[in-house]
Amino acid sequence: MAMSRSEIFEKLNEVINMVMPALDVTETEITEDSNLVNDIGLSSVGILYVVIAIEEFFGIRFDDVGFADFETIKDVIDYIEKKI
Amino acid sequence: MIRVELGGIYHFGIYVSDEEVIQFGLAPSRRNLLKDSDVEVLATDIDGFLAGGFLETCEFDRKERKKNRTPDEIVEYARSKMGMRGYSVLYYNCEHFANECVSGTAVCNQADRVRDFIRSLPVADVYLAKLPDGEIGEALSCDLRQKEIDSVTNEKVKREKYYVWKLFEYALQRSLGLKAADLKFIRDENGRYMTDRAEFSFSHSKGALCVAVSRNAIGVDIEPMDTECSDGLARRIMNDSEYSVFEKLDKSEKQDFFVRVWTAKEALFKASHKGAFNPYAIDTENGGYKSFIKSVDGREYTVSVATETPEKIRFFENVII
Repeated sequence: MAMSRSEIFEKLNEVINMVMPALDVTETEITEDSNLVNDIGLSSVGILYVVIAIEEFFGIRFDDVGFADFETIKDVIDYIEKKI
Repeated sequence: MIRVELGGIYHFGIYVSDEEVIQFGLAPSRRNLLKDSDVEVLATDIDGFLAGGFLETCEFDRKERKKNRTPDEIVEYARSKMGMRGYSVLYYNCEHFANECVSGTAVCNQADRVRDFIRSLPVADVYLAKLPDGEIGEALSCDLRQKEIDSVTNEKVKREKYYVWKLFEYALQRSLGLKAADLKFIRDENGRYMTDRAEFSFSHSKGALCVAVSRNAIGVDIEPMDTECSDGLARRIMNDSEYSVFEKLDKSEKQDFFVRVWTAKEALFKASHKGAFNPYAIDTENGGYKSFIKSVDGREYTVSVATETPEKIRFFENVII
């Protein structure tokens, strides 16, 4: 049972909200178009937390991309979809 | 080795002189972000390295200094890597590079600390599904489980055991990003399945399947709310304190209480990984579990979940397997 795109989005939302308290970032509604920095408010350390959380909860490795490859949630979902 | 904190992340480099700091990529700021493939080992002056931040120097203890390269060797090694690419923000970044120059071992304590934190986040996810109709499908990736299923002669039990494992495979992937096929499972002396990558628990009853997954001890049990109960049975499974509550209840309350206590004892037992199940000896009055009423295929069930973090329990219901 592969995860659908909407399931990936739902889970990504959960994962981001899970690490939010550690980042001192206010919870916000996340859509596929949300920009990681401008809309969600992630700093570079915030992105580090989110990327590692995605690795841990989706079971994938971000070994062929960098932070600069992801501007929006949609970019992250596209990457996860390819990797799982 | 020196470092500077910028935006909550440390940038590392090898200090040769005020005019020469060798580093893997420039300090991380959104303005300087390049694609990983474009990042290379380069040298800047100290101001370029610090990018307005405060300089910190790394201190090594005597044991570390003994293992580290000499200053001349460090500089020679760092210079030999000028222009090198292959940057990975998680797997080979400026901290990996600087540590490799100094000690020969590429480590990144920042990423390790974040990963430890992420792994410490509590997960207590419970999945519910209706037992599918029809024949069982392809063989499971876990030979141990498949052999167990093959040895079962009762068709309904066979299907329950098969599909609860399929639900477990889904739960592992959904909650912990783990593929069952990649894990090694063993069975303990009581027949319970175990793996070193996850904690989990199964239960199936009267057409309902239930799986709980976590990184910490977890136990789950599901039973229909209309499960028959009798005073005699209650007397056998409940301790004196539990039974004194039970005997004061009216008939319908007794049934709810009985099913809750029974499932709680099962769940606590499963989470404990202890020997044989002795319900009488398991105390449900000290917490450590939470009970819920859930509907599966139109029938109501009591589900009890034993976990150290009951406030983190999440349900995923009506999963199609």
